[in-house]
Amino acid sequence: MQVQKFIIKASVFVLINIALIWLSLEILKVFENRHSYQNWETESDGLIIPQNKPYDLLIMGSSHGRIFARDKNLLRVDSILHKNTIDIAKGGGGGGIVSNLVLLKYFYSQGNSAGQIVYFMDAWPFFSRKWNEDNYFLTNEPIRYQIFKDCLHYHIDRDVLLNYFKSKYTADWLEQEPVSREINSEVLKDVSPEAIQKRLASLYIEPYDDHVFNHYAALLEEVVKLAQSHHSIIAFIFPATLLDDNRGKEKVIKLLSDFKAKYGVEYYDYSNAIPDPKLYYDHDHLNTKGVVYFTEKYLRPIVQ
Amino acid sequence: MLFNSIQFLIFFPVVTILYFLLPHALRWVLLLIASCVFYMAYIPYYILILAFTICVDYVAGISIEMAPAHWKKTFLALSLISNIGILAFFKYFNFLNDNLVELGHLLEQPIGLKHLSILLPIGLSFHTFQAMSYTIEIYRGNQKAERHFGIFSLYVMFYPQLVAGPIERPQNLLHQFREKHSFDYGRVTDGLKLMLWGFFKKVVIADRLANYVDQVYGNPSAYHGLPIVIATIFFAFQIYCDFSGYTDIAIGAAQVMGFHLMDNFNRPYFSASISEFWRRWHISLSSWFRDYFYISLGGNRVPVPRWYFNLFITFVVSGLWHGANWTFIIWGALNGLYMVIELLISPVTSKLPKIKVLNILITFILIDFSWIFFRASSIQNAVLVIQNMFQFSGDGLRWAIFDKYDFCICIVSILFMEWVHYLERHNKMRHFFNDRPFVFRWMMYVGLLWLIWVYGVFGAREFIYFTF
Repeated sequence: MQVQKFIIKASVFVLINIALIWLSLEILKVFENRHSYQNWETESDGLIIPQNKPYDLLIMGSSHGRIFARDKNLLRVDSILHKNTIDIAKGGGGGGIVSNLVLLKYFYSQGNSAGQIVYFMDAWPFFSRKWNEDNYFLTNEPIRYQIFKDCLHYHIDRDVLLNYFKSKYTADWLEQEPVSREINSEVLKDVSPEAIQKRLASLYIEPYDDHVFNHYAALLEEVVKLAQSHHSIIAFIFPATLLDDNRGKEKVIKLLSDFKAKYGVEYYDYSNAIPDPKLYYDHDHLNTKGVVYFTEKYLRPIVQ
Repeated sequence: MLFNSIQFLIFFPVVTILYFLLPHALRWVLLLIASCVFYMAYIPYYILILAFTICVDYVAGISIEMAPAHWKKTFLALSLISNIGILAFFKYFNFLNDNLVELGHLLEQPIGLKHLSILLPIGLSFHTFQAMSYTIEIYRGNQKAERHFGIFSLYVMFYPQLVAGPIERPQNLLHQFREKHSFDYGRVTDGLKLMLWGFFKKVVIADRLANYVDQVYGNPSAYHGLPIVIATIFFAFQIYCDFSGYTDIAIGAAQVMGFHLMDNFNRPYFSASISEFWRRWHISLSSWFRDYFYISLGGNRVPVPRWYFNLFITFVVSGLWHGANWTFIIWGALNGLYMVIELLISPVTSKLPKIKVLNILITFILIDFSWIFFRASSIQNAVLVIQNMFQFSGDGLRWAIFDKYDFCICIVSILFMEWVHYLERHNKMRHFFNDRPFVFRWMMYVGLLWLIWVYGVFGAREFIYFTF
């Protein structure tokens, strides 16, 4: 009798909480829908990925890809390329292989399409879980069932998933507004070998490991297959930086060569293509002038 | 396994359901397996140390009971040497060795051995003390030796209190493993409520305060005045919520299954004197030291100077129990000094008018000052904290509040907890709830759960006392 009473009351308690979760998610949607965001006004992809929209070009990768959207750069890119572009690359360290795969899946799941995909490729996401499954890349993403499901599928860390939900109940999330991050006026003053070493140390947080590399190589292959199954032509670009970073790059180039042979995808190494510091706002991010220069000189020939 | 981890949220209901489903005769087996799984979630092979302690004390217990009077002491000594030996090796070897090496440098003589790269087994001090209380109680004739090896193992390993107490006595716990516990609705829900309250204290208050405290104490040279004062006050509440939160979860989890564990905290920051504080803080450890160490030294039934010495040394040893670092020894010594001074001035203070609020405030300030040594990573850092604490600047408050949102949650949650403590002065909170209308109660439970969900800091931060 007492067990029965407990089970009934516990079930009611659980149901009340489920109802409250549902209610709170509905309330969160009201907050999310208060503003409509342009691609350059938020770092969130969930807030800018629409439904059933065809794009000519989709940019993905890390912050090295996101700079093509920030500070209204996307308008400049569209104007130079005469294309309709969406940028779902993840900045702030969230541009690992897994996050890109999850977000690309979400993009397609919403009925969208992309004629061409440019993936700005870095070697460091192949080195550590901390750039992938253990990365808090969902903090600025709205709650979406599809994203959550794929995160479970790709074994995203439990704390990351917990934080995904919890981060939606914070003032930062509820009070956010469209903001265009300015990188126009910022110019790197001098190239500092010390700062470069510091930056590389922050990117390569773990030593190379074959097992880890192969795990992310397999996930990158999934990205290629996913793109091709949705009739998108995918190309990989090593972004222009001043880091002179060769750690692990050979391995990634070898991997991309294999992809080229197997899937016919192209890759381009522009990592040392722009040595002029005036075109950067730090040692590995192009400023607006740099983005325009890169788009005109290197991206335009790739994107037909 | 951490109580504030997703693993435990699965582990606890599974073990509890199986516990009530199994026949009484098999329940100890389940609890023993569950306790092994719980312990082995850290460093699995360290369970061998626990097994060694269990075997030694099991044999020692029976030997003490069966041996002729003149041999009892020998068996007790063997058991204590073995327990303290393990503790000394894992916890104090490097500390002692490093100090010898330092001494060697001063004397320009090579002293000391190679620094050992060993991790401290989790909760070692807790289960060692619990095991020691068993053999001491048998020696004193207060407890019969346990013949059932499984039940005895469970006494040392019972998972809710295995890694951070309460440090139980055999008279209270051992017989409970033989008793049949049926499902009692009131007891189960009271246990769950206590666990919920414990989670609130841990993840909402302690872990949020930890962010502030870690920032200041992690780099004390960068802060002056108010930020250090706030961090030190916050640490007092952080350590209380961390440890009492753990205790609440442990007591609640045991209660759900029908076990009664001793109380470990009794609203300690409402204490009006240092001696009262130590009767209300970490009660199971304070009473352990009182019963097995202080009284063994002669307690207060000795000449007054010796009595003061007994008191002081008990606190110094208690400080050392907390960690192999001079900061803990100074923390213990400081509290010992407070106790002795309190006794010395008691003829004067007893004649003064009693203003309880003022006494509570003075006690809190003194205790909080001692926490500086407990929290600081070294004596140098503790001194730096104390020096910088008194260097105030005009814009201190602006500097002190790193994050307004976080700061407000910290303050409001501390006030909320202390308000609950105030209400608890006559009756336990869960009993207070039970007398309220159904809707009010449920609103409170759901509200508390949501406060944990929304304002809790997740990331499975370890409990501070796990490392002791």
